[in-house]
Amino acid sequence: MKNKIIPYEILYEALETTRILVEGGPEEGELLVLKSFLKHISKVVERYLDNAENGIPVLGHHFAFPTEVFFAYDIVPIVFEGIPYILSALLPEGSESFYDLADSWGHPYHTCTSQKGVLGMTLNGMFQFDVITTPTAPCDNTFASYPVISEIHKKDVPFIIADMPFYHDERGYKYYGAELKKTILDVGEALNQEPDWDKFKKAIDYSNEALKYISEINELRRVAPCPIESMLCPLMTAVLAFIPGQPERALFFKDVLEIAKKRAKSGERAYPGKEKIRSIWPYMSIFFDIGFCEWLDREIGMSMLLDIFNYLFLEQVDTSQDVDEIINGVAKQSMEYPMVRQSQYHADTLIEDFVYLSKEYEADCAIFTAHIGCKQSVSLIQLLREALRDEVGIPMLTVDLDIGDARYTSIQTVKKEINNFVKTIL
Amino acid sequence: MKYDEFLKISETLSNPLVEEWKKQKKKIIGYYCTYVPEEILVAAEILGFRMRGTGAEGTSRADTILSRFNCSYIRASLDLALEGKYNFLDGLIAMNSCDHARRMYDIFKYKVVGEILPENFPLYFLSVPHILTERGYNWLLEEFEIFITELENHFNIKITKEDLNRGIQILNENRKILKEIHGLRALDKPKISGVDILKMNVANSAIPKEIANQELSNILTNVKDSGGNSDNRARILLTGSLIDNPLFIKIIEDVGGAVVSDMLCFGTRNFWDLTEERGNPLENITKRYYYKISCPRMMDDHKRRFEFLKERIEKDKVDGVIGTRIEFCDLNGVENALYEHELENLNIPMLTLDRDYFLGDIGRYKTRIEAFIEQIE
Ligand code: SF4
Ligand code: SF4
Repeated sequence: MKNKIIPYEILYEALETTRILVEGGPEEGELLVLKSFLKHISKVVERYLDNAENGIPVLGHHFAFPTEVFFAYDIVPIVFEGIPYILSALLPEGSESFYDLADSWGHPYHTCTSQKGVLGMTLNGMFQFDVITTPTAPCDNTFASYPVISEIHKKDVPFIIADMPFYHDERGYKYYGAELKKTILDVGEALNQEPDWDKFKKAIDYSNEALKYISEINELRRVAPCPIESMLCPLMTAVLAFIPGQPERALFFKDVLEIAKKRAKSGERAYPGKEKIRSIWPYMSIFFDIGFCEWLDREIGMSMLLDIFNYLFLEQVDTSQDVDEIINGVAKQSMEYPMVRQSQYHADTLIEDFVYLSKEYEADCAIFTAHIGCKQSVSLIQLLREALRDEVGIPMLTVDLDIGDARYTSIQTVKKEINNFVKTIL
Repeated sequence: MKYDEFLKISETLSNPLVEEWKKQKKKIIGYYCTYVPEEILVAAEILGFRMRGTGAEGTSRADTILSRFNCSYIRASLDLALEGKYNFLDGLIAMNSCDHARRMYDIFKYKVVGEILPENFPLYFLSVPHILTERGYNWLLEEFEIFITELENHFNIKITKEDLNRGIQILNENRKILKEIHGLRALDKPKISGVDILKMNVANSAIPKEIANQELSNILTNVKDSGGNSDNRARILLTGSLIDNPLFIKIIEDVGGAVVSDMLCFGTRNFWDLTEERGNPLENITKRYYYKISCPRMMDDHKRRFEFLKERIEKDKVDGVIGTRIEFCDLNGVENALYEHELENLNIPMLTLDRDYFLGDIGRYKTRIEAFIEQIE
């Protein structure tokens, strides 16, 4: 059977190569979080590859959907926004050739690379989805890119959309609950499968368990020096995207929690040297350079405490309720999911979240990666800068870049800007 | 009003009719998108004023707030607001149209209201679904109901069914006249230029609709009787990002292209569809806005837009399509790319062009458009 998810094969090889390098490279006790990440994610990707090879249908979907809900079916889930960025971290040439393919098709250069990468891979015939689905959130790039990916992919592949309303209130949650339920059932119909609600509940249980560990980890991030390496920020983003509703998700966060607890007890950081600056990243960290976060910790003593994907304003969903109630709970989670919560609603949420987190975590500064693709977030940079200055008393640096494409702003330039900024604080 | 005088309204932000309206102590509300239901504003005797960048000399004020990755039209309109040029407004409506425009609600809230505009300046946000479903229709109906209640409470007015029906009639008349005028531009010998059509549409968006209807029907009568002009090298349909500045169309027409059709917010997208006049007025208004020729913000409606485009190409005897994108406009950028591929399959030439709101590089646009016209001539 033809490999329907070729980028995952590339990913698996890249993960294994990195794993061998990391296992054999650093001293005992170093890069523990990365090691755990590679171990768990490799396992999941390997499983996806096996399943795809055994004819399990491939479901392409947006990160703003909690993948758990689709585990009511036998599927191989592919989160579009995950694959270009993880490859940009692991491959020397990143995902550049895929972005270029999308550009040469006519996709404007300024759209979000998170979806453009999958468009390029699709143009290249590397994915064969059986169904594609997305909510209408959180941004123009979603509205613009998904229909194109589905159009180019194959005309007869079902493309299912759930409308996510703008308001994050009871009226909005109710509307979206109904949309999500319809989407789940439509996906089943497209796959010719009946939903297995027990499997669905089990997937949510795994994520609930992970959520418990995440909140404990985030408690430990308050400790100074921060016992967790900055690298957890991009790694956690990847785990949320790549390991939904599976035991490995909980296992990874359990590992991280153990590591953090030990360090917090002995007042250690992940790296030698002092924690000089505690920083908060109201947008995402950088994906295209895997060594960047280590550089922050080691070279300038900066801890990246949290980015937009690392603090989850989510409540666990009680799986003892009836299915409709569970779906409503997941719908609410989906609307409050990182990035969706802040991107799809008024500025107040982004501002209040990061003013709150900066205070709670005693950040000394903020760094905003102004991603060229993300027009709604770059619109709010100045509002946030002023709020952090006036309400928390901390400065915010903005770096214009593409988080998944090293060519837009080089890592050297990013580092230089951060170095200069740090000099003004210390 | 003379023809030229009417078109001149498009050249400035405010205009004498706005001033007259203000003198009568009547309200004016700015809005950012064609999904804002003007019928309801007319019913409330409020003048709806489409937000523009007309007259902005740059974006230096706006750039202290927005990013260089933001649409220059949005930055231009914000610049004017920060300069106080929108102080004639009594309120602003934004909606989830595109990511740049929807953030204007936030920017006005934090940076304009209370500083440039009074503390009690009302801001309103409309949430419009992004796909066409029955649930979405009901959501929008509810949104419009809430909007009416908010208007009533804020301005201490009552909006009755009769008022809504009056709004529907006035807007329908407006759209019918604009549609008829569009017919005159699309004749074999167009009786009106693309430049004048845009000016007319812009002027129409900035004055009371009753007056616009009188003026537009006078224009219609006069233009109908005029001789046409077939002296052009190619008949062009223009689509893409917002255009409120006729200069871009002038560049096309100066090099021999006749802009005989369009698919623009200040054009067919705004006036093509009418509202049903029988039955429940609010339901009719909702249906009109929900199912009208959509903009690329409607995620599942590209096919219908393409059908409309093809129909205009055929009926308006278009030789070539120009699709423009203001830099950083993701929605129209991708939509144009889709059209380009689809039209290529039909052997219909299309030029896609990125531009800045201020049209700084006229030479480049001219060269590209001239080459395109040569290619299709
Ligand atoms: S990064 Fe911004 S533009 Fe990209 S998917 Fe997320 S919200 Fe959309
Ligand atoms: S031109 Fe594009 S980016 Fe600018 S306001 Fe219109 S839709 Fe938004």
